[in-house]
Amino acid sequence: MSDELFVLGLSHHTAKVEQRERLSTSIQSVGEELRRLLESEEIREAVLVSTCNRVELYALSSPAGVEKARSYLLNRGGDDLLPHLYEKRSRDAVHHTFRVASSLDSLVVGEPQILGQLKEAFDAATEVKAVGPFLSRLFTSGFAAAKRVRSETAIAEGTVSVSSIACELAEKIFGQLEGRRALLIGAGEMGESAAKTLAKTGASLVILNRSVERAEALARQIDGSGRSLDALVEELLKADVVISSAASHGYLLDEHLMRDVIRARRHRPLFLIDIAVPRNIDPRVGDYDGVFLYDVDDLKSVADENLAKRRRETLAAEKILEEEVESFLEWKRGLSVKPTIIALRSRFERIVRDELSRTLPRLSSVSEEDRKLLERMSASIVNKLLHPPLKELKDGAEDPALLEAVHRLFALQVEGNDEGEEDGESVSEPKKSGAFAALQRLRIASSEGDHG
Amino acid sequence: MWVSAFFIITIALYLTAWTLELASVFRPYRGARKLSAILVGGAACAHLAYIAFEYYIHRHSPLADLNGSLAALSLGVIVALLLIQQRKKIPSLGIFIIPITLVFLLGAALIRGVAEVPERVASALLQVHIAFNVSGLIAFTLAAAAALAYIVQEHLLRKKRIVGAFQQLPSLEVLDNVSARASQIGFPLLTAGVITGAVFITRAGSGAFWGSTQTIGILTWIVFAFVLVLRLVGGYRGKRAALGTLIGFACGVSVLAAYALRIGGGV
Repeated sequence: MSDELFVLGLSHHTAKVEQRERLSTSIQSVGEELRRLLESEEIREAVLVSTCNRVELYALSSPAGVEKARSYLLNRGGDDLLPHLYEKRSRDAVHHTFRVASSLDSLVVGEPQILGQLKEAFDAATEVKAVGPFLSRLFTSGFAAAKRVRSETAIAEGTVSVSSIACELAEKIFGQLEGRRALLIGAGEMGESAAKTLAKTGASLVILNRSVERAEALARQIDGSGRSLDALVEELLKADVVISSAASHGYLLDEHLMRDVIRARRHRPLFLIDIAVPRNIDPRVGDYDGVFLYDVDDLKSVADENLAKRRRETLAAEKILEEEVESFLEWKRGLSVKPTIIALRSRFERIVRDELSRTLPRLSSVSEEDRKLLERMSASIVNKLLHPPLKELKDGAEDPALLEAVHRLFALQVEGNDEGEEDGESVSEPKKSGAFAALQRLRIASSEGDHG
Repeated sequence: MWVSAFFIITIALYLTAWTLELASVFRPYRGARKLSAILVGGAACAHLAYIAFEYYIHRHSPLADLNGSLAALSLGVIVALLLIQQRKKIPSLGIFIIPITLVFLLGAALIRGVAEVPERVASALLQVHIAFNVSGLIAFTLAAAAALAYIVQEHLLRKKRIVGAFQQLPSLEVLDNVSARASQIGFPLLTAGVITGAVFITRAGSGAFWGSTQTIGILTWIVFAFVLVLRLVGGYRGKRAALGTLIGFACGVSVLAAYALRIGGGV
């Protein structure tokens, strides 16, 4: 039986986080996991991808290898994971790989991290020599497909996380945020996330909290400074961006307070982000000139709109993937008939060589030039004779009956096939890595010949 | 024939570049900005050829009368835009600048011969006066375009329409800075224009050339002076400063319109 590509795993589509985490593994441990998997003779090549949203094994193996891989995963995560595991083979597996690389299968469609994670997993597998020519081609084609999707569609356009949107908006008001002053009121989880995103832009951060200790603890994490809520007015005068996420009944920044603050700021623009529920900032404050006020619903609606826009782009992205999958499968088809083509050509060439070596000595006077001319003519006859069958072979690469017919007609012997003729040309199908390794060996042989 | 050909090519290239830039705001695609910049560059070359042929064939100096000044003014604005784009890479500013340029250029063609300068008043000082005013107006056109972009962007931000076109426009800070800087450059040039104009009128004798056109010119100077002082002393910026800049620019354009319609007297 020939080797086949399969993908076996679970993702956010089929399993909850507590189920996914039972199978997940760190990138440092991936190498060891793959070594163990490849101990099984049936699995030729493998890549293990483990992210927070998916754990997937991409492998080239015999059908028995799929079962081995399934047992391996269930041993690690528990038998109850079986209903959550999905399996994709051949074309579906190629299509799935390309969809994952292009972020079409991600929880947040168009997110850029998955491509980096796939590359990391591929590198880890390459390091432990778990990747052969097939998976190498599959993954590099997948990366190229992802690149095409990102550049030819708007799949990655528009930010979809609330904190990134807040940051993007701040940049639309102030340009570069480096050197700007951001104020975080309250040390809640969402505020913290937005503050961390802002900190990455180079803005200096001040955290105000009722508990100074809590403010200082968070400030240490994001390289900011922590103060008591008593410094609110003083900090409001200096800030460019304010993120408010404090637990408070009634407005913390009411219109009366903000009117004085805005006057004292002398027309300097102020971006207020109120992500607290109940809200911390009086909505009327947003009517003041130079003040831009956004609440959590505003940010969320932008995120939703961007996400919907990305989803609309998936149709165009799928078309690109179809083209890329076809191109990969064409390569694969060519690969499966390559050993037969090489064997066929080699058989014809051997016949010509033998006949020439038998005939030439019998001729009375053959100069070196005549000999070369005869060799060239023979090679040309071989090429012309082989052209139609080789073309037919390449076109019908997926038809096993055709391959079988060619083998029988031209007495090409498949290695390990006892029915072949004694003088039959060998079509390598070695135990470990199928046609791909055979191809590799033939390549090596041909390059050695070149050097010779 | 050559003049007309270059004029038509210039207009066609400006229109194509503008359409392309506008389309890329609503549906961004790769290479659109670069192509638009190339088209604007090509249009500027055709524009220069138009002015050069106009001078060569009709002996029509760009600083001799209103239509020549308008042609030079529109080319100056585009050259300034190209310089800004090369240095600062401010996206989509052309959307606001190219239409203004087109209006000036079409004005140059449509009002041909309307505001010719009489022989008796033509002098080198007048040409210096026009050169200062045209240079000042180039800067104010940039300031006004940035101010207009600011108001559009601020409106979108306030209405929370922050996907689509909003994402392609520059930040408020950048637009405010461009508007302020261009006003600061334009103001001394306009001041020099006002002074040379005053000297020219004085030399020409009494108030023969004083009229409502000159009054609007002075008003333009006052508005820009006001905006700059408020920016400097009162810390004004943003929408109010942008509105002030647009009012000042409208006054400046009114001066040109008044010359074109000959409603203000004088030259």
